[in-house]
Amino acid sequence: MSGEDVLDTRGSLCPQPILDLAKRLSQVPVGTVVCVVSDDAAFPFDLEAWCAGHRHEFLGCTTQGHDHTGHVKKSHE
Amino acid sequence: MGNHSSPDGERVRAVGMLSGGLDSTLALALMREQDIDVVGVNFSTGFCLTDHHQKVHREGTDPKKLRNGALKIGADFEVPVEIIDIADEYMNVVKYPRYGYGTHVNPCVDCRILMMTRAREFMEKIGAQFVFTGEVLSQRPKSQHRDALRTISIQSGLSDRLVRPLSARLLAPTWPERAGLLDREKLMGFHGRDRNPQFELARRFGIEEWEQPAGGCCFLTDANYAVKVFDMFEHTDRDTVTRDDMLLCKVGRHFRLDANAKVIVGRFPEEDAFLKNFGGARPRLSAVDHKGSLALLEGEVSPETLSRAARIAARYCAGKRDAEVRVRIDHAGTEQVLEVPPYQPEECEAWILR
Ligand code: SF4
Repeated sequence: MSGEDVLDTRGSLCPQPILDLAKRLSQVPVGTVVCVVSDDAAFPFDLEAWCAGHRHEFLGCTTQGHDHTGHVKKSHE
Repeated sequence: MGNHSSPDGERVRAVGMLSGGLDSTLALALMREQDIDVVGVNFSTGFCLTDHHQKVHREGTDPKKLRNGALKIGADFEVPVEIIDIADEYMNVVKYPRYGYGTHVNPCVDCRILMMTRAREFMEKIGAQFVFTGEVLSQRPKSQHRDALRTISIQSGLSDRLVRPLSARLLAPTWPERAGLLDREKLMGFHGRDRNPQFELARRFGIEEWEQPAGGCCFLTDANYAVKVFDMFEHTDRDTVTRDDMLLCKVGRHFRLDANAKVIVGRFPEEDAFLKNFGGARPRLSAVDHKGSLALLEGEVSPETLSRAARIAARYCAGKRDAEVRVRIDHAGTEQVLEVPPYQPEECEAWILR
């Protein structure tokens, strides 16, 4: 999707993808959708759990090969 | 007792150190039972088992088993879990622990002091009143006896703002208990290695799932890992050891050739990929004509060590029974091929670190 806010964290060691996402969400306005790409095996589960705990909207995660692409909507400051 | 507001009248807020294991989950449940507003913290040291397994695991492993337990518990209890990265400063703790190592290369007391110090800073930042953990008095002989718990409380600067809900009734009352923010009677008096009281409490709270770390929260408690790390400390200037050097000790078979050279061989494709990514400038060796493992040569690079490393790489490829195997060596932007006889298993055996 052009203009989408994409964080490509592939190759980084866990929990870097979640740390990067938390940082990015703190910088963008409420309502922004951030896309995170990770090749950590349990990333879809961790992303969904992190969103539930932090009350941000988890929009889903798709998997292709080893790469997972998740979308999160910032729900509050 | 039982008045759940802080001295300034707001709801009591606490920082919970969560690992995803049963003890910290129960501590969280006990706090929620007293209507404490909890923000969880989970520390990334670079040595966490689940973090490591996310990258290096055998094909076919159930990814659910690799998830971050603290995040899962946070989701179950609707508690935000802040992941705090302490990996860089943690290296000093592992290399030079003031309070020494536990059974293996685990610097548990220093580790807890660093984590609690960062938890205290986080507590101050978010305006929480205290920190709690799932520690159980005397559950671990070295890091959870009474003196160690006291040392950790004091050295972290938390002092009596550090609550251990599972053993609180056996410890001196902490500030939140004395101030009436926590009802001491509803906290536990668990002690020692018997897990039955925890299982019973888990049943009471309806907790059925938790992470079950084998021997500890991180791989510093792994005996095989410790052998490789202490070998590295013996043969390298400890000041120069990096995090990647430490991570490489977790992967593959390690062969100590002599005081100046070591060879690391991947055991499955995911380990080969890890060695390739984290091997830095070390020469990389692999068989040209056969499927096989990736090998790294660490230390002195000379015709002799390269030849020995190549013979090890040849031993771990499909051509291991051939008289000669061609092995490619990538090093410093150049490539060369050596034709070598694979070592016999018994020749390598004496060099394996385990
Ligand atoms: S087992 Fe590892 S993470 Fe746990 S206290 Fe010891 S050194 Fe720290």
